[in-house]
Amino acid sequence: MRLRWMVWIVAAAVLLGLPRMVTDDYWMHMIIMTGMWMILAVSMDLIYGYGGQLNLGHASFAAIGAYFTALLMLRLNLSYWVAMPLSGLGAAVISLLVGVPTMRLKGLYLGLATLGFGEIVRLTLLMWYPMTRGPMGLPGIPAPTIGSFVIESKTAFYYIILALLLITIYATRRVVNSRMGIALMAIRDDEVAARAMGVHSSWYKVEVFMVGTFFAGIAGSFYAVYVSFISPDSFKMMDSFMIFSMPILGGLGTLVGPLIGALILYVLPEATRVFAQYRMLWVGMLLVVTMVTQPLGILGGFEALAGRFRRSKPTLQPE
Amino acid sequence: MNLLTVEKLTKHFGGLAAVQELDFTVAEGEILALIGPNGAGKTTVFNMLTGLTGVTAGEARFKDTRLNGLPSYQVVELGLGRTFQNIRLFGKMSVLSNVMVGFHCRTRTGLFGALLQTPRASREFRQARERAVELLAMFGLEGVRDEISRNLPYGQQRGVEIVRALATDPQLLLLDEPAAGLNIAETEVLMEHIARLRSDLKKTILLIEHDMKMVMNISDRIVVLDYGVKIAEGGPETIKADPRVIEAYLGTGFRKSHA
Repeated sequence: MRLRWMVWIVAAAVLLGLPRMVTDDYWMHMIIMTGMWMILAVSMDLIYGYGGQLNLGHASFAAIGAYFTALLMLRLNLSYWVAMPLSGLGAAVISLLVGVPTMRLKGLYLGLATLGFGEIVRLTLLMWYPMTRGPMGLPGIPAPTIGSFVIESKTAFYYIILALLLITIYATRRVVNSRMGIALMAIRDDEVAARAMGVHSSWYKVEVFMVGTFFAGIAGSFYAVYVSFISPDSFKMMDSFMIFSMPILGGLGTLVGPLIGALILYVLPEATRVFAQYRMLWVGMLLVVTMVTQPLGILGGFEALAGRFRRSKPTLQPE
Repeated sequence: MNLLTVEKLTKHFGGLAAVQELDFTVAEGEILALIGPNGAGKTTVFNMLTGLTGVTAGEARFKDTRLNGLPSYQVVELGLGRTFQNIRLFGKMSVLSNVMVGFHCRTRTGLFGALLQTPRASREFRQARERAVELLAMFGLEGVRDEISRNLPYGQQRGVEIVRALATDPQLLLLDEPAAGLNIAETEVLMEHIARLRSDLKKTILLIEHDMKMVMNISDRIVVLDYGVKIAEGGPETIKADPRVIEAYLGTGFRKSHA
């Protein structure tokens, strides 16, 4: 497959060379932030697209990761490279606190529970003044360093988020194409039958929640050092809905779909910022039109079309 | 040797006694049919055996293990595979993946094995895939292995359910109305498959079925339930002639009016 290798080499060259091609700081910032939203969208897709667990509080796990990183670095002077994995673990452990009691909830009920949890997180960050400084947020989060090299430039942050995104995609691919991934999809399609086939469904539901929120915590951790200031407003309920919409728009359970969804749903509102008042209107209209015309999402629709010409089929079918 | 022993098994749903003090055994290698009119409690018995419904009283044992209170994902590990009356395939997954779910209880890879792609993880995954393809081929389903399962015709969906249950490597296979909704030709194929499950794969089978031709043809013994109570037990010929069975199925009105 020489052609395939060529495609990979070109893709790698473009990704590595992007900071040289994009000289505008604003656009570089957009690209970096898109990378962060892509991590959130991919991990959301793992939880909802593959695991079938309706999670409407994903942004709050990014907030948890961001605060973990900020506090670990500001209060304990930990290095970013230590604080980042700890922040992911922190988000995952806290997701256990939501996951275990809500394990028996299904569909919209779980959605409401996670939505409520998101509000608890927001209020905690707002009210726990001694720790979080409430609405004033935490400024002056130090930049990551490698030896004596301080990561401050957009280019350096770009390479960090690129590496984190690739790790996230690799890890979710591994999970999906494994015994665990098959079990997750089985639970999504029919939990009773999955249990009758030997799948310990409640454990897997908690586990996929932990894996997904681990990466949400990593995304939030990156945001904290990149922007160097966080507040309870950094990740809001609206962001949870956006993250939730990304894999649906791009194509649930496709791994690539969430990337497309994140690209569209992050870049579009930013690009139309001039019409600030109307930007959510465009996003809303886009979602409605896509869902009516492409119920499988953009990529899902494309795969269904391509599937007519080849043997392999998309993993999802419309309801 | 008895694979399955059911003693005074009872299930109450509120005030309704769905199954009352049911006794029966399934010997290794036999095909036992559980029959009875609609609502007789047959599926409830299956659900109690496989941990989908709690047991009110009595007990069920698989070899020496008590089944009462075991969750369904542990029951299947003991060697009890089942199919469902209203087909419960994983609708959005391919046929091959459906069967691969069946291997779940016989493999061990966890999250970290998957993330690090340990040699054991890849070997287990590859073997499950190969075995799934083999099993599908045995039942003439290799051609549809990449189809999304919900797009298959009804008869093939029933076939995939049986193959998926086989993938759990059961000693005892519980088939809940495998012929329901099948046409005559499909039923013929199914009967051959069930015969082969016993002769080639050495499976013991407990079967719920309404298709009397099939029941009489393939079962060694038959247990008849009516309103949750066992009213007869024996070989096909005995059951056909049993007046209580005829009464349960046809009622008594006919005989009375001609008496």
